[in-house]
Amino acid sequence: MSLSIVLLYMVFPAALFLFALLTYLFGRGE
Amino acid sequence: MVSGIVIAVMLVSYVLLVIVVGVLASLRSKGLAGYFIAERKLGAWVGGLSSVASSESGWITLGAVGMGYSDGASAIWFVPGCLLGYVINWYLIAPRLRRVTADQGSITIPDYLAVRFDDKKHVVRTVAVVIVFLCMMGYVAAQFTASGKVFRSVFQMDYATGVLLGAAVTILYTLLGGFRAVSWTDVIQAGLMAFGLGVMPVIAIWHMGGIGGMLASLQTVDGGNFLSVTGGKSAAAAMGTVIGLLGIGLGYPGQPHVLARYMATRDETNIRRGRLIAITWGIVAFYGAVILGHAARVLLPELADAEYAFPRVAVMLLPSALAGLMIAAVVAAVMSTADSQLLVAASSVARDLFDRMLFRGRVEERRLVLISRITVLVLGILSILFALSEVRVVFWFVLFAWSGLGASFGPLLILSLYWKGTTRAGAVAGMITGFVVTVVWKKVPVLSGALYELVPAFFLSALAIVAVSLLTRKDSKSRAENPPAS
Repeated sequence: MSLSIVLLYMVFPAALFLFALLTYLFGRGE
Repeated sequence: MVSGIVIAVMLVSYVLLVIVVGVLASLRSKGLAGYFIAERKLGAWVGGLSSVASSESGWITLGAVGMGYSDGASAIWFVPGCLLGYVINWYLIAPRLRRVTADQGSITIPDYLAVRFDDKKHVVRTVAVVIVFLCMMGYVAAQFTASGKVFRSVFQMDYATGVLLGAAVTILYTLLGGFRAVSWTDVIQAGLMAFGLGVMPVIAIWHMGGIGGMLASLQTVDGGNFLSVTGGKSAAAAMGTVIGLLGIGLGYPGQPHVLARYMATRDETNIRRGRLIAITWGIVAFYGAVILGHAARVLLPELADAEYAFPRVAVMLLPSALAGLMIAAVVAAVMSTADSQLLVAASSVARDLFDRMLFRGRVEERRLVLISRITVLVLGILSILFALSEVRVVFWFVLFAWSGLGASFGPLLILSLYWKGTTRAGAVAGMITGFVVTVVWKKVPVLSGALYELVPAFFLSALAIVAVSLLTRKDSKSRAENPPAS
């Protein structure tokens, strides 16, 4: 499996979910 | 063997459920603010799921799965594009737009813009209403077209009957219950879509012996280029496609039917919760759609129309009752977008045209709600006629309306909320530039072949707003009178 497939199909969604979760737990509205 | 009757029973159950919800919601809505933004009382789940169900149309279950089927891994680029669109909307637009519109008492996007730019002569409002109306008509018709295609694909039903069936149900509950009905049914519909797009790829991959089995089968497809994220093209040749697919995400900040959900959310805490719900849903649904398309390429390599991949795979792999649920998910995607768009188009007639422009607040609320209902009905019928006149590819149709709205309103929403220097003339210039560039770019084959029209239209619209605002700064009073809360 190529690196770009790993980045686009696995790393990006995992990172985005983590970002959304952390900003929900610790963030403010904006 | 898959039984058409069982599938039909599941579908009818779903349709009855949304009609009941519509009737229940109609009992709770009062006045125009109730009919168009549910008195700003949406919680996180309804706000979050309603926003995604409204933005993701029949395109996600038909067009996006079809792209995963036809274009392979090179289709994946629209996924980060769309998800970044969610991030822009939920982090930059939603909190501030909710607060500003609640302070203003605005209930539509043209309403917000008119107050923000002190639009006494109704220039901003008129331009906004015309664009909303034109794009929404095409958009709703595209949804009904998708409905016709699904019914034809699954039940071998006549296309026109499929259009009428999907449209009649959507129009009925939207007309009855307004925004509350649309948002509540959106929750059911978003749940069905997440279930369909989340579960179907897993079942399909399992059927092929796991991810290894699917990848092994896909290695040889399209001369070995199916699993290439550039589609086997050189980096330079693939650039236009990649930028265009990423650029789909630029459309999110300009969709009035989605922005209405943020305006209707109860408070900032619910915005924070809502965005986690929406982003999680988006990850499941977008990746599910593309991966399902990849899997369908192995399971059904000879499909005449790639957009039929989702319902065809469901019927092929699942027992009838579950297949019926999946077909309901496809129909749900269509209805949940068409309903919100019908309502936004109706709001621009009832609130913006009748209430604000023609009668300047002198019409009773009760009458305005009646006008709104009549408008929903008339627009619905017009969209049906539009959908019946010509069968088009759903994806193309939706992207055109998506770009028109995205380029006309997206840059303006961002700048009007974050840059106090935005002037009324700049706003008008930006909306017109965004819309005109979209249409012209789409119509010129050399341009549309090179790059998706939303990308140039969005940036040229932003440029027009900034340039004209800087030129008209001294003349404009709006800047000092109604700057956004910061």
